[in-house]
Amino acid sequence: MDKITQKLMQKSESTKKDSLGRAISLAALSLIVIVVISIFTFVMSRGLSTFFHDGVHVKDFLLGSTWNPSVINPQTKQPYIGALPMILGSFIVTFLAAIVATPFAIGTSLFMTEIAQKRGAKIMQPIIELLVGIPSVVYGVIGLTVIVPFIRQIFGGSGFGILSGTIVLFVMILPTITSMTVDTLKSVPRHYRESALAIGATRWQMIYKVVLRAATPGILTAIVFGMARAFGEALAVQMVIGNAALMPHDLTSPASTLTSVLTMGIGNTVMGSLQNDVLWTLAMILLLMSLVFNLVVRAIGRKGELK
Amino acid sequence: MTDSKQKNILETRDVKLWYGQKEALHGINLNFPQKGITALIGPSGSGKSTYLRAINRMHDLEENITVTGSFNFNGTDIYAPTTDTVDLRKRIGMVFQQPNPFPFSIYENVIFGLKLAGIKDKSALDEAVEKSLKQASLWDEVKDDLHKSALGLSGGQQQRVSLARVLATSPELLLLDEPTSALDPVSSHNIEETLLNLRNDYAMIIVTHSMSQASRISDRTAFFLSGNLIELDDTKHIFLNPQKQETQDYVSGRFG
Ligand SMILES: Nc1ncnc2c1ncn2[C@@H]1O[C@H](COP(=O)(O)OP(=O)(O)OP(=O)(O)O)[C@@H](O)[C@H]1O
Ligand SMILES: [Mg+2]
Repeated sequence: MDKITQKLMQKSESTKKDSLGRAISLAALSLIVIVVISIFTFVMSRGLSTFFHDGVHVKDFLLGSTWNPSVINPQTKQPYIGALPMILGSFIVTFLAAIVATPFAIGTSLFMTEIAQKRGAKIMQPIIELLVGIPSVVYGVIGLTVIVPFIRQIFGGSGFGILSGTIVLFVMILPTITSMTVDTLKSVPRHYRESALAIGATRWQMIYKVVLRAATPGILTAIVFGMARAFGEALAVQMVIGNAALMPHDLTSPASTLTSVLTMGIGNTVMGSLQNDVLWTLAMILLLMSLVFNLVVRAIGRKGELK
Repeated sequence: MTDSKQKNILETRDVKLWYGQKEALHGINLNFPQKGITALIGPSGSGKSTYLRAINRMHDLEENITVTGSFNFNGTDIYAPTTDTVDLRKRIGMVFQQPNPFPFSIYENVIFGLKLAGIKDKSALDEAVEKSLKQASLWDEVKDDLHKSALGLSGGQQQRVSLARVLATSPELLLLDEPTSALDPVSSHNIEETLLNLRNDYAMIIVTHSMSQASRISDRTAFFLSGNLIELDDTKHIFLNPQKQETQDYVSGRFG
């Protein structure tokens, strides 16, 4: 065999690089899969042991309204492990924050993409990107020093509570929803706008009859992402919500969320005890909810494609 | 000149257009009769689309575009400050190169312009949908799927939805910018048939790169070259014995 044939028979340099790259990606992917699976298994097994190991009824846990795992209820001989106050707390702040943030987000995005593109791109875009990146503790501190006293002055009481939590979360998720909505609006094909105008639509008719409508799946996705962020946010909420595991009965008295109870409690319990297990169960709910948010986003995406 | 029965539906004089500093049209004089198809041909970049989009003021959407010259559209001065572009664009329909139905149902697409005009009566809308889809030669293919998404149709069908959407508003003039260039031969043929059927009722201006298409469907042909109108004549004259050398070169395929 002469040299050329030999060379042709060998794997070329780039083929080798190719397989190396492939191997590295595969390794990275496997690592991620393993991590995800382990987290899931771990949280699920700890979370479920509340029910299987400690003998708590799912119903008592989900619907019970008193939370005090270190105290035994003399009647049932069970600790007080009703998680309903936190579950409600989490859902209420999440939905309220999303409901308030959505119109602002859509308004801002429309301003940036349809009305003042130049200023939008130059001024608003960087501001919003900056806001997305601010660590949540900063929002929490601002909430604590500005919003809580403000609410206290207006509504009396301590100022801590769902209202303060909602406001902080609103400010936090607004940039998230806005920047995603901006992206969706920008991705609405230009020819939709052109043909709407060409057929005699006014600018506003074009925006709300065509652009917003074509962008609806994307906007819904943005909202769900914002909600997922709000639902999972711990630090900022914990700083302003008051952390009282009580059934929320109004917006301005202290309440709590799954995350705030979890972060406050997890350091003070012993691994393997019921007090610790129930916190894992809260974590499990959070995990399942983030799964739900994910599925919702996917479902919206799929529906958007099919149209 | 407010006589709506004037001989020409559109008379344009000395049309010049600048993209920023760059002059893209150098003074076009062109008139269009009340009925029939005028084809605009010419090599890429010769200003056909630019001229077409000046007619329904689509250039307004962009900054830094200057248009001068006079546009008399059935008595309306298109660029007069008092002219309402929204109203104008209802009277001048436009079909684009890419089939672009909205991501709604076929039905909603066709009634889009009517809804804008405030028509809510269900039976009137139904009627208009049937009529426009028939005009666009699409009715038989989609009459059972009116409430399905228009995006599920083939490219050629989508283009006919775009056409039906424009026809539904009964425009006085129809502008078509390469309506078949993104389509397969069969779909193109269908669109051509459709346009031929409409030629007795509408004034149409069609930009096309296909000489055979121009010769098949148009009554008159205008040849554009680098921002100038070189020649306008009956289609058969343009293709059989053009007066200008440039036209001769272009239609015989020597450049462009
Ligand atoms: N938005 C724009 N900004 C700047 N210049 C432009 C713009 N649109 C078109 N032009 C220029 O104007 C000239 C005419 O373009 P136009 O699109 O009208 O040509 P056309 O005849 O339609 O070509 P084609 O057959 O490729 O569609 C070209 O030189 C083009 O580069
Ligand atoms: Mg063009």
